[in-house]
Amino acid sequence: MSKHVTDWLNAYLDGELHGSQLHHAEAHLAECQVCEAELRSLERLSSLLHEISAPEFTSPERFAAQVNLRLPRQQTAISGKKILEIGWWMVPVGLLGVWIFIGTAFVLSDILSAANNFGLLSGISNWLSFGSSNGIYLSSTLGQAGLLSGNSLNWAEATETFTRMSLPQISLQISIALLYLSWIAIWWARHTRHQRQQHGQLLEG
Amino acid sequence: MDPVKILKRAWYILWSYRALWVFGLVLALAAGSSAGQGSNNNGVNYQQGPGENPQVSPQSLQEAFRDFQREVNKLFEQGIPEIHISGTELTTFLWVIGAFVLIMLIVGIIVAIARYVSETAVIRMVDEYESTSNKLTIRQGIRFGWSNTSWRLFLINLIVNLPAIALVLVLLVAGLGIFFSVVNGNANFAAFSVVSVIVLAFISIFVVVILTILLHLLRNFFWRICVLENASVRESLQRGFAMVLENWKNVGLMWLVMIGLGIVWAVASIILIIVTIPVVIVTAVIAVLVVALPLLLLVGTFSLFLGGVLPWIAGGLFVAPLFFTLAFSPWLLLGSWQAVYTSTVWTLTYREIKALPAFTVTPQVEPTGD
Repeated sequence: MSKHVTDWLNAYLDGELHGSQLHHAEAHLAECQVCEAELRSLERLSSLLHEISAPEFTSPERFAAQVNLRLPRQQTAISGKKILEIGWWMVPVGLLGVWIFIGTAFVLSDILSAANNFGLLSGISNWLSFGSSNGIYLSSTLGQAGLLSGNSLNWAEATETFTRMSLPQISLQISIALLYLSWIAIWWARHTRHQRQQHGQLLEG
Repeated sequence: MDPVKILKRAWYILWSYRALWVFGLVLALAAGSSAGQGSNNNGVNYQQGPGENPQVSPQSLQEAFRDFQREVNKLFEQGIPEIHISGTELTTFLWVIGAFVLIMLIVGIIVAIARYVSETAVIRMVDEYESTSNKLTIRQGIRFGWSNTSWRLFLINLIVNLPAIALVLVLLVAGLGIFFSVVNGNANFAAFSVVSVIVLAFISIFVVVILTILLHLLRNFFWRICVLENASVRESLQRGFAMVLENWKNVGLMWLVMIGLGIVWAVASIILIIVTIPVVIVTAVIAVLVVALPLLLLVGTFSLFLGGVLPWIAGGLFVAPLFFTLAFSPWLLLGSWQAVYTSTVWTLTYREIKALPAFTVTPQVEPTGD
C-alpha cells in the first residue's frame, strides 16, 4: 500500500485534484480504510458546516463600538465639562442667530424707509424716528465754521450720511464674521490636536 | 466623520478633475444671474433728513402719479426733439426692449436647465470618481446630467424655496395693498397697527430666513439621494430628512465649517477680484472685439426702423449679456471653483455618512459599574 493521502483529502473533496494526483488518490482510497474513514469524516463535517448559517462578519469599527457599549459607564450627571462642551457648540449657532437677527432688522429698516418715502407712514414716522438718524452734524459744523463749502461740503455731507448709515451694519457684520472665524480656527486646532493624539495612540498600540 | 479630511479631499478633486470646472462655470453663471434678482441689502437706507423734503401725503402721491402719466404720454406723442427721436420711434424702441426681455427670459430658462444638468453632472462625476477613480469627460458628464433627475432637482429646489417665495409674495401683496389703500385715501393707519405689522413682519422674515437656511442645508442631501440613488422627489425628501436627523451632529458640524469657509471665501474673493482686475481688462478688450461684429450687424438692422442713438442703445442692450459674460469670465471661473468645491464637499459628506455603520446594537450585559 502506498503512502496515506490525508494531506490531499480536502483538495479531493473540493474537486481540486486533477490528472495523476486524482488517479493516485482514488486508487489509494479504494484500498486504504484509514484514508477512506478520514474522507467520510471530512464529508460529514462539510455537510454539517453547510447546514449552519454563516456567522455575520463584524467590522473592526463595529466590534470596537460593541466593546465600548459593554464597558461600564461612569454614573455622572451633566458635568461642568459637558456644559462647557455644549456652550462651545452653541457659540457659532448663537453668532449665526445674531447675524440673521441683525440682517432681518436692517432689511425691515430698509422696507420701512422705502414705505416712509412713499408716504405710507405719514403721521407716525416722527415717533418712529425716521429721518433723524442720518444727521450730518460734522459736515454742517465744518460748513458753518467755513472750513468746507460748495462741492467739498456736498461730498463731506454725502460721505458722512453714508458712513452713519452703513458703518454700524458693516462693523457689526465684520465683528460677527471675525468671531465666527476665530471659533473655526480654534475648532480646527483642537481637531488637529485630537487627530494627532489618536494617531499617536494607534502607533503605540 | 472627519470634516478636515473631506475638505482636503474636495480640494484635491477640484484641482485634479478639470472637467468639473466646465459645469462649475454654468453653476456660477446661474448663481450670478439669480443673485442679481435677490435683495441686495447694502445697508444704505433711503431716508429723508429732517427738513430736507416735506412728508409725502396721499394727495401728493396721487398728483405725482398723474404727472408721471402725463409726462409719459407726452414723451410717446412728441418723442425727444432735442436728439431727433420721434414718438413713433420711441414706441418701436419699446417693442425692441420687449423683444429683448423675451429673449432674456428664454436665455434664463436655458441657463436654469443647464444649471440643473450641471448640478446632476457634478454630483455624479464626483461620486463616480470616488467609487472607481475613473474621471469622466465633459461629454459623459452631460450624458449623466441630461436626465429626469435634473427635473427632479428643480422640483426639490422649488419645494425648498417655497417658504421664501411665499414670504416675498405675502410681503409684496401686503405692501401693494397698503400702498394702494393710502394712494386712494381709504386707509388711515393707527400707530399701534403699524407697530404690530412691523413686529409681525420682523418675526416672519426672521423665521423664514432660518427655515430657508435649514432647508438649504437639507437640500444638499435631498439632491444627492435623488441623483445617486435615483429616488423620486418625495422619497428624496423623506430619506434626506431621516438621514440628516440621524446624523445631525456630523451634518451640523460640516455645515458650521462650510459657513466658516464661506466667510473666508467672501474675503478671499474680494482680494482675488481686485488682483484679477488687469486680467478682466484684457478679457474685456477681447470681449469688445468679439461683440463688435454682432453689435454692428444689430445696429445696422435697428437703423432700418429706429433713428438717432436708439439703434446703438438697442444693439448694446442685445450684446451686453455676451460682453459681460466674456469680460468677467475670470471672475466667473472663481465662482466656478467655489461651486464645484462646495458641491464636492457635500457629495463627499453624503458618501461618508452613508458609509458610517449604524450603531444599533444594544448591550446584552448590564454594566455593573465597578
